[in-house]
Amino acid sequence: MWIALSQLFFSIDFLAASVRFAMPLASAAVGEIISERSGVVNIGLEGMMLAGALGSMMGAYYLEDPWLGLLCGMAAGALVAAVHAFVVITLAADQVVSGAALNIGLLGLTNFIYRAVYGIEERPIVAHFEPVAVPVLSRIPILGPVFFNQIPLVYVTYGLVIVAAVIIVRTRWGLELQAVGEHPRAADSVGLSVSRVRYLTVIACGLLAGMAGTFFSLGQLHTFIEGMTGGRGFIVLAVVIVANWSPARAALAALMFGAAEAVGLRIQALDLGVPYQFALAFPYLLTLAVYIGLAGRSRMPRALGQAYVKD
Amino acid sequence: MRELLRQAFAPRSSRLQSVILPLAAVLAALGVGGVMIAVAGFKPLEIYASMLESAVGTPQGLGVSVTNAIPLILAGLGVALPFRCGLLNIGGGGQIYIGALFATLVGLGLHGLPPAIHLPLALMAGFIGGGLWGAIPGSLRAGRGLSEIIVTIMLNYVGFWIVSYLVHGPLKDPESYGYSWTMKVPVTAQLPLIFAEARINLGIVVAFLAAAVSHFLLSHTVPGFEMRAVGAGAQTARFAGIRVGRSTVLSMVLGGGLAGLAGTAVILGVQYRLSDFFSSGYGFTAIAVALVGQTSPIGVVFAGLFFGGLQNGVNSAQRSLGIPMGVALSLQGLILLFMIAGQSATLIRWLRKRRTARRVDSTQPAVLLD
Repeated sequence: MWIALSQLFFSIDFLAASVRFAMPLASAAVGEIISERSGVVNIGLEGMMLAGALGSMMGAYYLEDPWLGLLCGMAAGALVAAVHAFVVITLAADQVVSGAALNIGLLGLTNFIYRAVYGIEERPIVAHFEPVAVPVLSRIPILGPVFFNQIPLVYVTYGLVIVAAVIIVRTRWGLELQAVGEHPRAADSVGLSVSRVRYLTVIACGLLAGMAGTFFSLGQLHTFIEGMTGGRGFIVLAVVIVANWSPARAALAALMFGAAEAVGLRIQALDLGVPYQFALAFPYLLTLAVYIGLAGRSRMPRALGQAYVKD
Repeated sequence: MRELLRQAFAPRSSRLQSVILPLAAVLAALGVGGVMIAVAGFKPLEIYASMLESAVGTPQGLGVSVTNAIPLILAGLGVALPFRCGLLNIGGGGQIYIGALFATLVGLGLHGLPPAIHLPLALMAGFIGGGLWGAIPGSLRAGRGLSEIIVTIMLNYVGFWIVSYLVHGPLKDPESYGYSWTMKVPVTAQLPLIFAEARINLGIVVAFLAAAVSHFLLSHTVPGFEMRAVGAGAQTARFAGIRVGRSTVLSMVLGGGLAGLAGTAVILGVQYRLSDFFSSGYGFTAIAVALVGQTSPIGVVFAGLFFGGLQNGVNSAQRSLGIPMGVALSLQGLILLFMIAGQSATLIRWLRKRRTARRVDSTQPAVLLD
């Protein structure tokens, strides 16, 4: 039985599903890292992802193209992020509460907009992303079908993680961002505009959260359902800490959580006599366990969560 | 966070301000919400009028609003208490479910007790269940410095799925085929109605008592003072000899316990059966309740009553006028944003600057006369 089990869990399908579930987490995690590295906590991620899911679904509905839908979803995420930025940067209000307010508000607002536009009739199925095999790469044994036979959004996320890692670690822009997150007063004294940098990072986070939300609407279900991001935005907050604010490690952590979700699905599908509620709770339990195990080793950006007010 | 906490700790600047700010935030949110409703093709004034009418217009309507407010006040206190100690308890959702589970077990498990013993035991069990669920993030924060935000959010899902498993499996009432819920708790463990016409149950007294005890604890006892000192600045509190970890755990246990009581009050006072669908986002609304009540237990009572009425009004307006349910949560989010915007350091400074500028202007003519 154990051999049969291991074969099922380590099948190509299982691994490919892990990657599919991991990528929205990775995309949102990269956004959160950019924002947090500059000193702004964004626990409103879940709300921004929901806004992205609805925005991209509506974009794809009216423009009949998933890529244009993606742009709408990212714009929706950025719009919400702009509100967060204004409240916590310009008004210097509490970052955690602002994020919580956005989560609550967007759970309601996305329901309101969806119902106001589409009523309570059957959910429209919109233009969406289909898996595309990458020539050559998809023919590599095992790795090919796992990583390179996915929807195009997945490939965009691969690129994103690499670009973000390079920007943060290797470029002047990344240094500025870190300076603002570690010691805003010093950054200010050498002529950096703390609020300009933070506005940009928070809005970048919104764009990426919007893209993460698009995975759910245009990648998985091809429509919008209230609360369809199901707490993934919160899992991402844990991913970022466990990854010690590094995009590359965040991608690895995201893969692990993606695998947890895939395990949950497998447990349900295999009918092992394990209650399905356990399968559905598994990703959250794993998040908790990993967070408890690893979080103590992380070092967070020093000015994280603190508003910067010029004298 | 620190700025807000400092304000929470500082003596209220004025009673007037603590009333004006929430009122202004609510009005501003209703204004923005009205525009939103109008854009969606509804008539905002008609909808608001109908909401007000159904929330407070009849004894029955008022009864529903007050009944809604019971879990909101209790869960709101469950956010407010830890907040005064510098912690954000987003775990109301899970604590509500685990509290309700414990209360249901005591309700169903004990037989032949008089109500005067059975009901308090069930309430206590609910408090303990929620308190245990709050103790986990509390002690992880105190012992290992882990974020209570992340731990409580994950425990929300775990708590929910535990209850979901139990009510679909071992605790399922074998005689109810369509629904997955437990058997009815016996009358001896139910919260009786105290106003029969308006259908308000004893839970409202439990909520008021909890608020009074919380107020007394925070303002007139040593543990309460220590919690507020930790909230104002953990470092300073530590230098002053306060055991920060103990206050942290205590505030989360109490917060979780109060949220557990919220779930308990819904089961023992309204539903009588535990299910996995009885709590409709109380955990999130509790955050709005606590902050609009400015994290003072008395303020939480008023905020809880307000949000209970709002929920009732939106529910009725959905039935009669067809507005989407999302309006309630949208308004909550907006109210919260306006609350923290109104308290923000920048805005306060800007207002102060304008006031001094005006004063300078008014002295101008006098100078000219000289």
